[in-house]
Amino acid sequence: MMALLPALAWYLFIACLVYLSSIVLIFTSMWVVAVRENRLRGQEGRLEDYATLLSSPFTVPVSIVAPAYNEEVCVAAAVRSLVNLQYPEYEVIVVNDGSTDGTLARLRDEFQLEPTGTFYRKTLPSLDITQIYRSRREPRLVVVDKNNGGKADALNCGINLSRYRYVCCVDGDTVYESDALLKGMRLINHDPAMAIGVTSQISLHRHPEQATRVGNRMRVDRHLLMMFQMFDYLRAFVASRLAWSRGNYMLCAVGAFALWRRDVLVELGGFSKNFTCEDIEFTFRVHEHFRSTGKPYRVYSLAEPVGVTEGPDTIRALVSQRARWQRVITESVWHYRRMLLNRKYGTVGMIGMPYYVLAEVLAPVFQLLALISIPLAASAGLLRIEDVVRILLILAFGGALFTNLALLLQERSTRRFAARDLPYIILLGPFELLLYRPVIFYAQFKGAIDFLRRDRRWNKFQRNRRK
Amino acid sequence: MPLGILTPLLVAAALLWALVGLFVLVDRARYDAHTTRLDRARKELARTNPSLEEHARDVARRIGPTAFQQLVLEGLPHDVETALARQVRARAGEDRLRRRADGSESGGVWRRIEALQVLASSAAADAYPALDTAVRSGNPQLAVAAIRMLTMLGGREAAVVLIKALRDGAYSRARLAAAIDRLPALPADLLTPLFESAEPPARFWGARLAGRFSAREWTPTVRRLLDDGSPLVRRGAVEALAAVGDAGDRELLLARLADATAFVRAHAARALAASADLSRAQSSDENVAAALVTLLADREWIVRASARRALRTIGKPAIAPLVRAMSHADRFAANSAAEVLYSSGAITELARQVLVAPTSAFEATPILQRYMAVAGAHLAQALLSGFTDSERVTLMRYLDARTATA
Repeated sequence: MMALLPALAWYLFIACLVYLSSIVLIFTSMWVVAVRENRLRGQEGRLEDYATLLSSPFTVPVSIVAPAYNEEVCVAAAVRSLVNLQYPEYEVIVVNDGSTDGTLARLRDEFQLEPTGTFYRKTLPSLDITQIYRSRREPRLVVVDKNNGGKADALNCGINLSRYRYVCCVDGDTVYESDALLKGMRLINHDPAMAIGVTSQISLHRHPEQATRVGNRMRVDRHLLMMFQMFDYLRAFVASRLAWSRGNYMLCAVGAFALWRRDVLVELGGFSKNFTCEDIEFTFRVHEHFRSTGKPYRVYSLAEPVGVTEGPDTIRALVSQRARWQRVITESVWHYRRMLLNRKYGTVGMIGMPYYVLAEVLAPVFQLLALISIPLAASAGLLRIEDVVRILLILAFGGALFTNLALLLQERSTRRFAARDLPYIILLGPFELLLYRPVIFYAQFKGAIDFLRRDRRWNKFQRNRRK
Repeated sequence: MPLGILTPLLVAAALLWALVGLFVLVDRARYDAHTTRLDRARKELARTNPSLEEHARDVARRIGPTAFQQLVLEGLPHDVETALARQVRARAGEDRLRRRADGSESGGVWRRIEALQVLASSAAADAYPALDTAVRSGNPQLAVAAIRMLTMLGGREAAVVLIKALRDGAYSRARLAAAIDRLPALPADLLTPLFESAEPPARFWGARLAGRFSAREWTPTVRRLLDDGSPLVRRGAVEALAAVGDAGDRELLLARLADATAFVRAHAARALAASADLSRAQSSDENVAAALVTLLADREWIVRASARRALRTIGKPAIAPLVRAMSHADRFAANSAAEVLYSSGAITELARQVLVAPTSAFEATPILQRYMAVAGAHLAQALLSGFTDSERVTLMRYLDARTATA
């Protein structure tokens, strides 16, 4: 038995090393692809004639659907940002999904809502509407009050009421920049035949309605947990997703900003209530449908941030959110496993799905193996404590290097952050491994267990406390 | 275990992290310095100066086509932009710039766009063929840039390039149409290639642009297009006729309410609402409203929704036909009529009449009763929520009593 220990430790260690090397290789390749995509989209954005798009009646109109469930504290700011968007023709449909707090009252006071009745077509399945309100102040705004049926149900309800060819699904806790829709619709306006979906980057803040700026640059929320989450977002949105977008295997249109062509939403039956989250699953479904039918299409992810969303500011809330993400990723990958390494699905099957399996689904497994193998190797005399420290430092600087590379891309395209925040972001990078990764590991592990237990609860995190 | 590699790996990771971090900071500092320099140049150029050319020459010595393009994108007064572009063009070499702009000299898309910008900003005649080639290049970046430059130039030649590209579908037609729509004026004769095209989308955009620019010279053609074989073209013609037609064209639009294609009927409803003139005889609008009311029972949802919005826009003249429509056999039509009556405020007004003088409101009462019968729970609730509790009780008691009497 004692003789087996070093061998076991050795094999586990090698397995983790191989896994880590593949992840590093994947991230590096993605970053290289993202550099080109980032440059291209950045240059395009600068060349775009937004004034023309903004003033033209020929610019493609959009219906915005914003589900809200217990968003009393930030719903007014979020909806205000939506009705003040710069775009020639759009409507905002806020769906109050049976909130138990004062969400509806807040909206009623802020936007002077009056009840109305609208006969609408129930194209997609959704629970019954209690009342429809129109705003006396904002002619673009419609508020729907319905029984609680979850986010997918609320989105389907909003889509049923939407009038335009494109639907922008947003969150009721996100404050949007005034040019969010213009930026998002840019590529669709140029190629409405091919572009069926667009998603974009979202920034984080404890209190999105209080996010501050210096000129046109954003001040980061220096709360430690917020900073580390921002690193995650930077790497995911700026590095990975731009590469996915370039290869047309963008497998995750974020719930906070996803533009879809309405006929695609209807044809595919809308958002599904059978999954924990609706956004990732629907993106998988879109790819599955178009790849299997051989219809040409594009789903884009843009480099420009379009709004600020609320990030959890307690470890408990963060774990709850990330466990849900892990669960839904695993659910979607499992449900669409037929696409994995299937050449029929092109880049989605050959790159996107293997990426999800390796970097997301298997991550908690290998992290657990690493946690077991390193002490095991140390106790078997294969690793000295100095070696363990050196390995951890390599991982810390390696992770921080990828954050810096993503930051560099962001800098090259939008120069989003205030100059005085840059050194703070850079210097904080190496601490992520020690202070943040263990929490994420726990959350991912919990998410994987929840998946195995077939837990489908949303587990919405408690809103951050306001002063 | 070969752990000797750990130290070099650690040093490499830390070094790379530090180097990239440093590069980010230096890059931002350089960018800010560059922006400041450009700002200074812009301010220098914007100053009222009798010798603008001399000034531009001086600035052009410090900037190339790349920085020039950046200045233009961030905004320069027109005369300054032209003067500076001429100087940049002279310094960069006319022939070289032209070759680069039309793509005969390699240098990549972005270099080509920069060269095009210099040519376009200097208002050179040779800019138009190069911009035309760029729009038709099939390269989205090049086409976007060229369309923006043509919009900026805005003259007849620019319009010709844009319209021909629209006719040929050289790029997203909606985007090209948006660029044309932005032009300060559009001589009507320039639309000829669109109307003469064999392609329905070209004729569709021809009609829509004629409507946008109120090009009445094309009204007879637009009328003819109402009978075009393509539903897309008929839709465009319907929209355009609301803008360039006259009172007599209402009959033509009314005829389109019976079009075989749903979206043509929907657009005809919208066009009729847009052309409704409340200053004219009310009877005319009543006829339109009566025709629109029939669409509330259309087999297509899109047409019903469009008719509902159109009736809401028409307002008062639509009330009588809507009241009649509440007795429609199709319950969707009856419900939609109730909704429009509510949203136009007519039903609330009738309810107030009943409350003020219940005995003399003979006409109002049956209408209100009909409304309560066909509106459904939400609309009924919406009406009642506009009154106080006691008013609500009175109203309901009166309506019930009348029903019982009847």
